[in-house]
Amino acid sequence: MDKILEIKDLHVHYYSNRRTVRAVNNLSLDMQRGRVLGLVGETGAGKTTLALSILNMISAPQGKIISGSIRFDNTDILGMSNQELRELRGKDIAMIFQDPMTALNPVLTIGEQIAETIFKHEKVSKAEAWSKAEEMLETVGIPGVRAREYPHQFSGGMKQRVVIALSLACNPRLLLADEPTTALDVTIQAQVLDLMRGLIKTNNTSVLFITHSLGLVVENCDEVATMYAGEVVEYGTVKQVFGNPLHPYTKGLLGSLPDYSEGSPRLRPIPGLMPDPTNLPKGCYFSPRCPNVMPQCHELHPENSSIEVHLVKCHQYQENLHVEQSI
Amino acid sequence: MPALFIGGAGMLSNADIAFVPDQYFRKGSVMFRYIMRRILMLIPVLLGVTFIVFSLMYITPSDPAQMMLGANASPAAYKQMREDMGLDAPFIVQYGRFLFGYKHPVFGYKGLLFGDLGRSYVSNRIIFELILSSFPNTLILSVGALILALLLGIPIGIISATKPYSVADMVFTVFALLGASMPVFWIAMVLIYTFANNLRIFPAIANPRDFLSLVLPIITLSMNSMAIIMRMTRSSMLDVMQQDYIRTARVKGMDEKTVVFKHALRNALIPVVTVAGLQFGSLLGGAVLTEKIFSYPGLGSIMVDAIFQKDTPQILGSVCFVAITFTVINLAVDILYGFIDPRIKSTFSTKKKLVRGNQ
Amino acid sequence: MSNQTFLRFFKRQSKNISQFWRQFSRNKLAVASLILVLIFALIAIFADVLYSYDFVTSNSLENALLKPGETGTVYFQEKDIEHTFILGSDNYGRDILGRLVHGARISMIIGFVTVAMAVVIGGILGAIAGYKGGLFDTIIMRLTDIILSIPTILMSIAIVAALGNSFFNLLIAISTSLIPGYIRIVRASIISIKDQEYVEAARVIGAGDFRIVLKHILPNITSPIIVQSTLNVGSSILSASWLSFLGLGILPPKPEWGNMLSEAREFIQYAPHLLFAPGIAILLTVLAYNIIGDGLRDALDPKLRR
Repeated sequence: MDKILEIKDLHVHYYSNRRTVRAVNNLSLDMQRGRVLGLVGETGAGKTTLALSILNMISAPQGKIISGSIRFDNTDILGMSNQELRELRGKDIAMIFQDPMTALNPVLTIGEQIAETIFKHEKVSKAEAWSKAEEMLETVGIPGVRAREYPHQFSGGMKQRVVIALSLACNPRLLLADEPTTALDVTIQAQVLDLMRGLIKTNNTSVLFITHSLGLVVENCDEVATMYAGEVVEYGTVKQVFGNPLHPYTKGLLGSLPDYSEGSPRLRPIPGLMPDPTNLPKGCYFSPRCPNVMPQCHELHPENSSIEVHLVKCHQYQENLHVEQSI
Repeated sequence: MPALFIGGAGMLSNADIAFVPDQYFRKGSVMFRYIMRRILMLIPVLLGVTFIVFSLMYITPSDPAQMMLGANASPAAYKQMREDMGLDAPFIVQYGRFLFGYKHPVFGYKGLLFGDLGRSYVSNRIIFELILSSFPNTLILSVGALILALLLGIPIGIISATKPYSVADMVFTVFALLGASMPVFWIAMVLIYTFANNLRIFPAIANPRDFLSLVLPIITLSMNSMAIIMRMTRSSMLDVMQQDYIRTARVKGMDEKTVVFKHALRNALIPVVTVAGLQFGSLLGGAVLTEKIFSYPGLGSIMVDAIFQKDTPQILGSVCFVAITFTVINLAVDILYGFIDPRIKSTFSTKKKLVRGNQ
Repeated sequence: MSNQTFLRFFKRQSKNISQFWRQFSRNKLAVASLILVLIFALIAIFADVLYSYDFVTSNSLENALLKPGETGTVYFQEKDIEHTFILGSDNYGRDILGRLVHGARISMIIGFVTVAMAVVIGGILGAIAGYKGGLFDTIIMRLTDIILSIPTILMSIAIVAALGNSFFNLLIAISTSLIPGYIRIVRASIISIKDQEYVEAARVIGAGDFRIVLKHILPNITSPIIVQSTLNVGSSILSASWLSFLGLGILPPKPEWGNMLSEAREFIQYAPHLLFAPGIAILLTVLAYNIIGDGLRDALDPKLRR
């Protein structure tokens, strides 16, 4: 299969007050070209850190990529010079942030913010960049004349449209969408997602869709990866993962969704909290909260087990995969 | 000057997305109305200033009539003199005359509103003539000091902020702390002792027509402001560099120079402009001391002399003049905001927020 | 009831204090400054033990302008005393170190009294403006605007000039320029707190005004006021020194750092020690208060931490 992104054994640490926060731990993840990969997990699971690592944007004193490799279209991102990285960012890989309210520079017109990206990455004159910026705004449903307005003159949903126009301005091959709709009203969410879906389809953009809404994953994604305490604990197609969740954490996530069919049990929240990333448990990171915990879970960190492309990191499936499947 | 940095930021000049000044000042535009409203709101403040200064001078235990006549005047002549000078009138009448004028062949004047407070009791010179002739000298010192403070303070602040906790940052921080804690007059004395008395590079007495002689007073005066502007730029810049839109700019692939100077600096300068405006006021005040030490013929020297000579109309005229200048400058700074921060326009255009924003 | 509230308030405060101290003591520079300020305070308190006030204010012209460390014979209290001038003597033959020590006392009194006056007056006016709102608010805030639109130095000079040259008038002049700062702090926090839901909630469950002030408003304004006060002690001492320097504050022979410098002006060429000793005393004191103020801000208010 044609892989656009291959992440292998990635470790990312943050440092604060002489303590080490292990944000991403031994994470491996592949993305297929032209597909939408959903990345779900609780707040603090390391989703945003992962996205920033893909852009090699973990800033030096506070954070560091300890080891691992990230290959984008067969080029090693972590080995790139600053110059190469700047050419990559915004052009080949773009990112949408969670909060459109703070993502745009308040003292620059939105047109200028889009046009400067185009001017930076494409061989066009400033005037052409400007008219292309206006075009981009039109594509996201904002009249081109509003390019001369400032971010404060737009509503939240409109701002996120601007951010989408900004990130798609140079036709990136990979889009990292970090909870792009969390800060928006539900009705606006749907509009923005529709818009994104359309644009992604026409440009054949691959998307890493970070969210904690499982509903959005089902609607928008092809594959899904569940992240817990800095590692991917389950990976598969949406159908595989949602139809037959293997990891107890994924099961827990699905169980904590409301089910409105009659006679369904009460919501089952996952008990406990995510482990302290400065002090991760020895064995499986999920073991303190796991309902099916076994003795070896406290001792040994589980490796990936796979059924075709459906990956899971859990001791339950280490030897008895087939047994589990036949149940 | 912040304007230098602001001007350089526009990149798509032909598409004129940079600021268009005349658009703001077009009659009926939001900005025009905002400025008009601010000017109207200035009036009560200025009246208040004159009232307070007048009251202070009114309760001053000095007797101008006595001063005019000398020690051994007859009680009758003294009474006549008080009447002529208008000193026998009640307080509020005297304040009214101070504002709107006083009719008398010798002691009459047109009033503060018409820029005339008559003649000094001591030197017998026309008060506003003296103020207006010495104010440019004070302005040279203050503006010079402000420019020096901005020219050094802002770049140093940026350097400190882009490399926080580096050796350079530490050195600048210590320098800023010292600069903010040193008494102006002591800086002046140390500079005079070093550069005038011992090294003999610069003269110890300043006058506005000799550039070399202005160097020491300008350095003296700018020291505190430079320290404050430096610290302000640093902390504001550090704050802005952590904002999401800076991350956005980096994600777009902007180089570090563009991120710092185009995306961060313009946001970081907004609070610096306020501080610079306020600093201008304290520079006008600080000029009083600096002028005195360097025997410089400015408004400050005149004011201090007038205070020692109990020359009430001269004190009144000078203090009101400086306060009015200061207030007008602060208004100008607020308006300058509109050019740097597009949010201000809409924030201040509604009446409710205007009142709140002014407090 | 209110007694209990008080007790609980102080109990909570003492827990906060130990937590605060842990934060503050991380800043070594601030701790050093605090020690310096404490040493200056001890010197100020025991000034009379170190040097007699009469000794440092009486002339002995035959010892004029001695260099630091030189010894001279001083005729004092009807007898001759052999005296070492550790930091030299001034143009009237007075001991500089002795005058610095007594100057520290005056500076400290000025610093603390002016700030205390400003906190009380500014606090009350700010509370009225914030609580009552309406006309009170408008009048008080306009007054603040007016005071702020006269440069501080000019305002103080004008006040001393108007009221006459005395110690008390100097205190009034300096603290007037500090008052607006406290009005703004108190007013702003009261306005921001009084409509917050938890205060409304407290009111709904029947908490009295006293309790609300003690529990919700006081803890919120103590930090900014402590920080502002510390910084202001420094700036007050600075203001006093230059008012004295101009001859409008404390006049010689009373020992004050600013007037020591003013007197030194004509002699710095022959006796540079006259210039450095008082100047460094002012600089160190003001610097120490500024550093402590910054340290307090960092320790008390995490939001403002850089």
